[in-house]
Amino acid sequence: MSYFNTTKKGEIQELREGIGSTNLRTKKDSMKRVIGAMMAGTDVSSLLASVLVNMQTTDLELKKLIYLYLVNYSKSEPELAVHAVNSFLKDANDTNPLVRALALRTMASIRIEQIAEYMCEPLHRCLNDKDPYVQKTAVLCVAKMYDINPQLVEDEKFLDTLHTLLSNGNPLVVTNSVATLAEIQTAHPETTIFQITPDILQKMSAALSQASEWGQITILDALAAWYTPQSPKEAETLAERVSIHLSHNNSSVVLSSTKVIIKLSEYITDLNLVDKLMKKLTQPLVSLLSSFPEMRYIALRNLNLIVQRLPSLLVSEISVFFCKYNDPIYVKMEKLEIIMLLVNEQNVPQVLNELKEYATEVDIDFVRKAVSAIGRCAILLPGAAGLCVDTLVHLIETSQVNFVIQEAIIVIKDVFRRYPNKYESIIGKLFSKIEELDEPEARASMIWILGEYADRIEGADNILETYFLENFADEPHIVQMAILTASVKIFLAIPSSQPLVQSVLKIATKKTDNPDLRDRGFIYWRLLSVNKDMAKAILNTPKPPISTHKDLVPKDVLAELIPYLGTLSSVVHKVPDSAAPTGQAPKQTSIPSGDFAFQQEELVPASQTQSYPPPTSHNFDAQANDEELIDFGAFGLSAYNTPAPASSGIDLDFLTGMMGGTPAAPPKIDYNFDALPQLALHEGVCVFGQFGQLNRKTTFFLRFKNNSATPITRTDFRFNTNSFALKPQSADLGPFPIQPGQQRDVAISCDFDQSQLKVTGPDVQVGIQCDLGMIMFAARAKILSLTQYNLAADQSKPKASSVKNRNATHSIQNASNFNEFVQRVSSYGFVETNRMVKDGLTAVQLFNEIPALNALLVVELILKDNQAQCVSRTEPEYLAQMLNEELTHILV
Amino acid sequence: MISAILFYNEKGEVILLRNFRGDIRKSTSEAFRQKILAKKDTKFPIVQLGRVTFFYIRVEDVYIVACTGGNCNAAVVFESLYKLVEVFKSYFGGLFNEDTIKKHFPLMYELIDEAFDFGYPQNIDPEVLKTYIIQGKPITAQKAQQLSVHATGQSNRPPDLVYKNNEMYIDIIEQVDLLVSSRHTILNAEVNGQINLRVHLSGQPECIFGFNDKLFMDKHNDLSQRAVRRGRGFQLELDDIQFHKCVKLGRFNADRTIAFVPPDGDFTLMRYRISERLVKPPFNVNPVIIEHTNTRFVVQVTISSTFNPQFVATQVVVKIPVPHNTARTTCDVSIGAAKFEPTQHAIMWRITNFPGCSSTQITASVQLLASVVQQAPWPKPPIAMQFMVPMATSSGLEVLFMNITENKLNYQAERFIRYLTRGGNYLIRYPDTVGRNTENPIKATKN
Repeated sequence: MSYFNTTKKGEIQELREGIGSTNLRTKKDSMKRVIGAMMAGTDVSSLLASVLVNMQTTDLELKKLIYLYLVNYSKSEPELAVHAVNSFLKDANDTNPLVRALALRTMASIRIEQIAEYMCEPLHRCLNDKDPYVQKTAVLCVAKMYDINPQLVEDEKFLDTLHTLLSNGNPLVVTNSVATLAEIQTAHPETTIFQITPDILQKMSAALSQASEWGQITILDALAAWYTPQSPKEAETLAERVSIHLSHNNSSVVLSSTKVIIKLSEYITDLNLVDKLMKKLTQPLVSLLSSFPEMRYIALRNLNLIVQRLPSLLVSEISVFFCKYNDPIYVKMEKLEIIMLLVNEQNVPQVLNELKEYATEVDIDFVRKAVSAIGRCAILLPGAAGLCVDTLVHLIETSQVNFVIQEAIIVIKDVFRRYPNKYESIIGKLFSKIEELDEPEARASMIWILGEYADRIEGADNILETYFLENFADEPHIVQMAILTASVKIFLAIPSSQPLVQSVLKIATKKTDNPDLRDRGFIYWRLLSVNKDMAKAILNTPKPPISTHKDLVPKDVLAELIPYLGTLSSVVHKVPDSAAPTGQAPKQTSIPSGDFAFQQEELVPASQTQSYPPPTSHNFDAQANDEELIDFGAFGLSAYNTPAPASSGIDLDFLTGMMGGTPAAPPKIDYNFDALPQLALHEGVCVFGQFGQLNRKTTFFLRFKNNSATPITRTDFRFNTNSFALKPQSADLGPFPIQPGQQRDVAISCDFDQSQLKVTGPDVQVGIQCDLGMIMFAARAKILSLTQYNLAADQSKPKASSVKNRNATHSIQNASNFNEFVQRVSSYGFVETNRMVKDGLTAVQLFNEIPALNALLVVELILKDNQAQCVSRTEPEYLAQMLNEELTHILV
Repeated sequence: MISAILFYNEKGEVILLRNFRGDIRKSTSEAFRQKILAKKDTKFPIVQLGRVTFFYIRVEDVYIVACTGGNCNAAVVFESLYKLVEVFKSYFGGLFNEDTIKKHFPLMYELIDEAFDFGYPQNIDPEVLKTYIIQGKPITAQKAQQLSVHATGQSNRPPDLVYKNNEMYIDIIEQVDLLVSSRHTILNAEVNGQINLRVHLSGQPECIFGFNDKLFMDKHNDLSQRAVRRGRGFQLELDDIQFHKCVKLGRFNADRTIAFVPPDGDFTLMRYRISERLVKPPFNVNPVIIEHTNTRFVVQVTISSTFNPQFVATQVVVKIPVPHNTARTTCDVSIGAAKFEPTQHAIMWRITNFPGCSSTQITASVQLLASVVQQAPWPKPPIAMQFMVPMATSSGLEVLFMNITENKLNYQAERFIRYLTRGGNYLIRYPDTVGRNTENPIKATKN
């Protein structure tokens, strides 16, 4: 039976009779047909009066149908809808909770202000109903009412009721209250309707374990968006609590838990715990990829952010991102993105094999992206560049598909930019495919290579003339520009090609309407005619290194996006305010006036609407193209900023300085940094360091060498809780940025902070958070660098004798210069407390202490019969071994 | 949250629309039809048009679209849409398509209104909904009062359930995914398992479930020793476990005990995943291409099973793709039947029974149509395999116990356990090289 075939004439009359029938079955059937007609777009509003008559029915099914009808037509007939109010009010008092809830829900869905006013009384009653089903429905009605008439909600103090309902025993009532408060807070950020106080936090976390999956998400989302932990302890407790939900079957619960944990981890000071929490995330996140395709897509978009934030989390799991043949294309594209974020020197051979495999697939976009990814690998990983170039050449030689070759040539140009004078041997192979290039970008890339290596390519001028000059006027803009620059470069390399460059300049300046091309032509022309050497210097200026950034989302955006994982903004990688095209959905006014129009009619697939360049190959190309202008741009810069050079001397250093932006040199520290041991190597960042003393203060000497390709713009330097209660005074290694290739030497003085004390061992765990992620390593603390200097001998005497336990005895080999040993020990701040010379026996007692740790150190040097001995005693005992080791060093 | 849910048919007509917030108008649904469905531009599951974001899935011949104007939780939207479809299927006898929508639309409205309120998912569980959304049977006020605790998720069992025979069916289903590269290395292998329960139990039973989980055994020494005594010494390390919402996660986190009060009916108790470190693929597949001429080549695929000989794989299907311009093929197989299916562009080799620890081979000679125009090269889709191995788990997971206690009724419940391993994305790429590759060992080896 179908309810949709009701458009015939007379049908309406028939329906009216049906609704008026005394037979319940006929009534219901007719009503269903009315709804069907309504859906199909037939106007059945004329039946409103007949329908209203039946509102008092006790049949729940019929009642639902009538309500459905009312909701639909009340907008166009508000007066009639008001007639229904009495029935609604009566139903809202029914003994059946399902009917009460239904009446209230329907009333709130009729979005008319008058109805909202009538609703206040039943809403008050239902919010305090004894039935949870009615309550949870009533809670959401507050949100609906706020949407229609916020003032009314405030006047009636419904929000206060919601706050009390947060401690309700039913989890769904609590989570709906959270959802309502959160929604109002989001829509009105200027208010303070929803503040997560410790009290509310406690209620929310109590409801978390009992709530349904959807309720858990509501709570987790609210925590991620608005909750700031008051103390590390609080963050730890909550993170532990949330982490159990990582094993939930529902992928969105996993994603929401993940974001809460990542956010909380920023407030946790115990790095071990942070590490443990992050480890817990890995497998649940990988499991998201076994979900249905749409969820895989969302998971991948989110993982993209998570990987950028926590690069180490998934690096060992790269193979789960390898594409399956039957993955939907949008999943494949995102997987490729993540593979490119995770690729490193170790896994690059495996990744290249995969990329090569993808290059044989069918989807053009995916294949191009895979080919371009091979080039990106080369640019990112100097160690693997050779392998990548071989792979590209292999593709160019074997592929029968035109666009693979073109894409390969486009990326090879970038590889040349990155590694000048390294892979020119392959140029010949590229030129064998010159006739197959028909895309502007590929042609422009080829021409660039031609110009750049004109001196090494035999007959470069002929190639340019034969293959590219013929249709100069019809070429796209970027190809024209490339030809112009290349022809000048070729002329500088091969002076005999003067006629060629002249003809190009002539066309470019005389026969073109494009001002860019014309102006560039004029400048080259003038430059060449005035001074050829200068032209050479300008055109062959070393180009700024091509960007090798892996990180595609700006850091600040990334930080803002983490609390929104799982939401739309994490999918489009835009901060919430800009994620939804206008933030909030446009509110409908009470008088319907036209549809909300699509002013921006353009179609934008979600993942391509990013505010920064999308992470596709085009990103690179765009950069490369911009920088390509530098052939000319560099000249512009110097011409305007410096007095015109007299003849040929353009200060190239000055130019590079302008581009690179050298930071101010840091203050000099009097310490031999070259002797520091290497402690960590992470993403190309090399860290050397050691504890020592500077100006009698415990200091951590650090050399931070940036061998990566990314400039370091921020650092956060921290110690984990350690045996010595050490805490660095400053957290940054500024001034920034630390450019690739630069190193920074810093002396970080350390304080003692009792809250940092935790007896773990002689190593201090150090964490440096920087652009490239977290660098973690352990540095051996030196007890002698911790000791404090200012001791009065008389005071220390009794203390020294109080240390009873005896650690170890060292025999000193070279006893003849006994006094020198005494000297050496005291140079570390030890004070002589006792000296005994008797019967050829000399005993010297030296004392030192670390007040912050209540540690006492006693060293006794004994010389007897030309045999020297050293005895050390310490308190507390865990320092004994360290002192021994260090003494051995001193006494050798 | 969600502003509206729309159901489109293949032609792009809206066949059902539920508007939660009144901000989605006809022009909005029209825009989606014109821009996406009409152009068949369904490349991304999320689309932004003007000020509205559309999330859509496709089920049979229906597009289900959720619209929103704000920044809502995208994961929730998709998860809840799929759950909603499950509800519909459960109500409509496993079917969901354009016809069922037209037939049952009043019920669908009712269900959507229970599942979502103001766009917030409330209760999308078919078993729970079925207790109070019943067609044609009125619910008394008294009954409704009892049900509302259940309907709001406070208790996941309807009150006063009584079964004459208390039974629980436990199905352990493992799906093996495999990706072998053209060089015979395993790129990715994993087992996605799920434990499905069908619960017919009276009252409020409390269940504790145990399997040979290494971490659980480590914490419960007595149990693991008992298992070893029974000859079940194998301990399994899972990469990840996900549980149904009824499982007490706090308790699992504390000592890895899986304790729960099951909902009534069918549900998935847990899902788990084991990655390549521990998985031994049940079948090794080794393809070799021997090219004779431009228009003819021979492909030889050897398949050997690695599982215990006491098990037999059934419904084995091997799909060997061939180029689009294939004219005809001749296949030589020792067991099963193979035939070229032009619509699939593949040779389908079907084997009814494939015993463990055995091996067999197909040799197919493929004749291509000669063509003057040079065609785009054949992208060589991977060889895909499907199979079922009843009573076996490829991970080695075994149920150790399922304790059911009901304090008031005190009955003994029957338990039935079944195991099944099946092939999921079981893909083997064609070799790069033509000809018999003697360098590579026949068996797939790990990197």
